[in-house]
Amino acid sequence: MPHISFHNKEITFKIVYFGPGWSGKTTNLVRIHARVEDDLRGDLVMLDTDQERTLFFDFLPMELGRIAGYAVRLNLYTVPGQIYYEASRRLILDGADGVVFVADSQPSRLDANLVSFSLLRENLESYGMDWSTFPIVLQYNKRDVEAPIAVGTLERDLGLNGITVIEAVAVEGRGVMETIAAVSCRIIEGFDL
Amino acid sequence: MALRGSLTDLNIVELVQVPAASRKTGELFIAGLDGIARLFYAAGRLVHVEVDEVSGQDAMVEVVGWSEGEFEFRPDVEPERRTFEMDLHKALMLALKQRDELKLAESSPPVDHTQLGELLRAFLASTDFIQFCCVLNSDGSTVRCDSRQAGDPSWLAGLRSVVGLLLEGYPRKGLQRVLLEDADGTVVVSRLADGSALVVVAERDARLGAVSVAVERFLRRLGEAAGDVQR
Repeated sequence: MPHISFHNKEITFKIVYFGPGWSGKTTNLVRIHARVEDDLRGDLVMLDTDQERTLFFDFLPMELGRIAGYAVRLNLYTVPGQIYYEASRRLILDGADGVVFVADSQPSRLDANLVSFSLLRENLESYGMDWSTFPIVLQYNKRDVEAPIAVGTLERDLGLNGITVIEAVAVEGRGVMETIAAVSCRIIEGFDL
Repeated sequence: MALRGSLTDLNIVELVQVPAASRKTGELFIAGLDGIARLFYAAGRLVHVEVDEVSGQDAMVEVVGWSEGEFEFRPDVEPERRTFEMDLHKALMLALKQRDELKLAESSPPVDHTQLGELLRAFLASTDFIQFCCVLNSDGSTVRCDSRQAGDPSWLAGLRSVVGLLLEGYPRKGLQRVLLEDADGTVVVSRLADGSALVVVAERDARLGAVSVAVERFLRRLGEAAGDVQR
């Protein structure tokens, strides 16, 4: 859920990057952080676990404009992809206003994508989120691998209609800003006064 | 245990979000200077608001303007009525917006010229990239100016007509701000509550984001100063 700060005249939304382990969630965040001007962003905070890192930072995307005179701030999080981090994943997902699902385009990771997406759905539904209206963007990352999973495969296997899909090569920065722009626009649209 | 406190410690806007954030059911009871407000939550959702005889969104608009009073959250109190369906945060933003529009309609007195001059001077001194700032009436005439160089810049005469055109001729309503980039840097024009315009000129090396943030801060300062005058 958003947080409205009267003092700072800001409304903050939480966006969570979700996906299987090593699909490129961290790379997405690092890339965005590098692209945002220093004085409009917070530090990139890293919470290390044994297997994978959880990242966080916040920034003011100027292009999103304002809602009723309040500046829009985005809090970006990644969640650990490994299945066994159930507790921390739930905690991070709690109160998310939008989710980017970062899928791994390597054919060998098809099942991992499907399992991870089911987890996301279960978690969000357990918070009572309305799955049909919740802002979510599907990013097919690693489009530069050999014989990548065809776009449309995950949507078909998961029964997703009309989900926003973006192709990316996050290590090169391709598709990264398009993804964050797409999910934040979906969030703001839902907030149209 | 009930949560208790004063609105001077926890701002009303922050307060009404607390039960939502922790998904509480109960009644938020606020004894303000102008009346009693009661907000009911069910599992974090706001379901009913009343201030004296007023309920729903109208009551919300009333409540968000309160700055003094005592509050208490009474857990597990069931709502007496349901007058609210909108998402709390959306309703809150809407209420703040409606409140601002009401305030604008009441036309708060602007800061006087001496004070404005001091504020502009402080603004100029607070950054190293702003070269010139002034407040112009919608007809382009000067309310107050400040500059790093003595005297009015030569281009100011031309800018006067542009500002008037922007404020008067802009085809959609509610023009708030224009950021212009030219060969010498950035020019920001912001409409103020009384219909005049703040014009800020920044040097070429200044980044658009930094200029925008600086102007935003100054506008807030100006708003606070106008609020002080009103009080």
